[in-house]
Amino acid sequence: MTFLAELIGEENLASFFANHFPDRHGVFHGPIERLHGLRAVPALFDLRMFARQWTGDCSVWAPNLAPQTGLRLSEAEFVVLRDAGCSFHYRNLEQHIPELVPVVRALERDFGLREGDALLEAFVGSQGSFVDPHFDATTTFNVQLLGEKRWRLAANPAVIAPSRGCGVGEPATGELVAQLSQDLLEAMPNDAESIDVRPGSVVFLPHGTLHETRVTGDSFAILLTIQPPTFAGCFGAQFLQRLLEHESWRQPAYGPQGAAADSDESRQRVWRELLADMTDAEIHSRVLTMPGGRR
Amino acid sequence: MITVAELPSWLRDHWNSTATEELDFLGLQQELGPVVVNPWRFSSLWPRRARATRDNATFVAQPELLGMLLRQGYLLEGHSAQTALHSVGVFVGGLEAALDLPTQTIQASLIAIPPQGRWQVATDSRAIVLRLFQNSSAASTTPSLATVCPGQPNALVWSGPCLLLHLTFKIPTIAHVAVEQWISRAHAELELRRPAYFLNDASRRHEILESWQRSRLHAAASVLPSANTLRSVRPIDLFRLRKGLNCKLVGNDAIQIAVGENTKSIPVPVEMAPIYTALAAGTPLSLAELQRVTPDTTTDELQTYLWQLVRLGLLEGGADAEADSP
Repeated sequence: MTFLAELIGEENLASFFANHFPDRHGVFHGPIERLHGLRAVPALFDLRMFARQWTGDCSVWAPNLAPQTGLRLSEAEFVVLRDAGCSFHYRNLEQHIPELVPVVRALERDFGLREGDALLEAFVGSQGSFVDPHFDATTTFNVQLLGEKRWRLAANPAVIAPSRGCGVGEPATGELVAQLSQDLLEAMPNDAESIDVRPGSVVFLPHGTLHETRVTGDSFAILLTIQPPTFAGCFGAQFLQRLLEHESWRQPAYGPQGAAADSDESRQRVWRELLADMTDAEIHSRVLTMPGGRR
Repeated sequence: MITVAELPSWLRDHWNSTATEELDFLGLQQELGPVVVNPWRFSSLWPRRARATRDNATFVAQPELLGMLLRQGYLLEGHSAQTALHSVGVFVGGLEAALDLPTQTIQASLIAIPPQGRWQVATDSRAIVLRLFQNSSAASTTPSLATVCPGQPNALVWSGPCLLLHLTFKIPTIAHVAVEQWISRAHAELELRRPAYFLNDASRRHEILESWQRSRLHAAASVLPSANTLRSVRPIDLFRLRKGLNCKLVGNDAIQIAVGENTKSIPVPVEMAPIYTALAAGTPLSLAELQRVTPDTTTDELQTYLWQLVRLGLLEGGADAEADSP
């Protein structure tokens, strides 16, 4: 059985690829006992143990306060802050909990990704805490481990597969602007799906999906985040290596030694010649040997 | 004895005209004392004669520990010297201004090196490295200066304990800027901004090769950045309050935000409170300017905090802040 089958249920695999992947969200309920890879890590099912074992940084949201990042908390500090209603975000769990590395590698294999293209995050939410509506530029499987949470989910009518996230009601910026087929929504749509999740529930959240959450009972959830490069990013990474073989393209872009205007034409010639010279096989083979992870 | 590359004339000129006046290395050495007592966080540690065996463990150095490690032959590097040490900050800021570089282009590390040793560093294709030396055991107290240009192998050999200021110029190459710009434009097409799932799935090879071909055609039709465009893509680091939003500091740990007739008070970290007063005037301020009013934070902490405020919609940052700034 693949890890994906364990995650969403083997009986749901065909439906997942037919109706959900890659752009349509979905919720899959089931007993937590089926998640063997995660069940093998006791700290994921005991918050105090998790706080005691965690040696990395975390971000903390206190009610009505801007997030605090880069905090390193003792178990006692974690307990005090949690009792005060704070929520916590942890990144790269697999780097701190070695037992989770096989889980991440299995997920990468299931989606044909390179090593490093997936990562694990965790959210600890206190009862009543919430996340404002927004959409992300990454695709995640949100696995509810402890407690309960209410999700509101809706397809994003303005953009499919955005390369930038944005809060609902906030203006689009940067390259996101050119990706919109209509204006971004000012609020969550009234017909957004409302779904309660419990331990064992898995929410598949493709990038771009509008969502908001409210913790209805102290919650612990992990996010299996998959963030492969875009197709343009793959091509660009390989093309960049070829450009850097040429001195004129290695010059600093600005500053005292910056680009000289008189070399524009020669650089453009190199750009065109390299594009013509790159073979499909070369790109394909080189991209597959690149280390994973978004850079 | 220092193996150095040829010093570019623009750097030598700047050094001669400003640096020797602004950066007193004897003062810097004295300044190390209180900084270490404060204490200063050193984030790298190289065993003697080792290369590329950096210990990733961050530790906070106490004076006794520092002295002991130096005597044992360890090399200690403290990052973000431009914010940890005032005189380094002045020098780096002056250098960036003199060279018309954006703030935060130059990153400084202060390195305390042991009595004897040799340090060989790998080349870095994206950085220009400048090193300023004060050899405390040398007869001359004049600081030395050396540069290492991108790609040049280099090594340091020293005969006495000294402080070394290591400046790294983080300027992207034309290739990096051009490709990043192209990728950003290409992402306007849905098929090119889709995640490349199943890259290693042979059954999807046709689909993947189609995307390569589409990328190639898109890149071929792309307008490349001219020299003028490249100059204009320098990173902008201005921040200002979001339009229509008024903000007032209440005490030293809370702000009152007003949008129209709606007001709301929210607590803020004491060390970050001064940025709200600074921004309340309405003028966009750079990261460096905001760093000056928040001396108790590191650049990384401040930058992270500011971008969180941008994400929360309290601030406008980056190019958005500069676009229609007064």
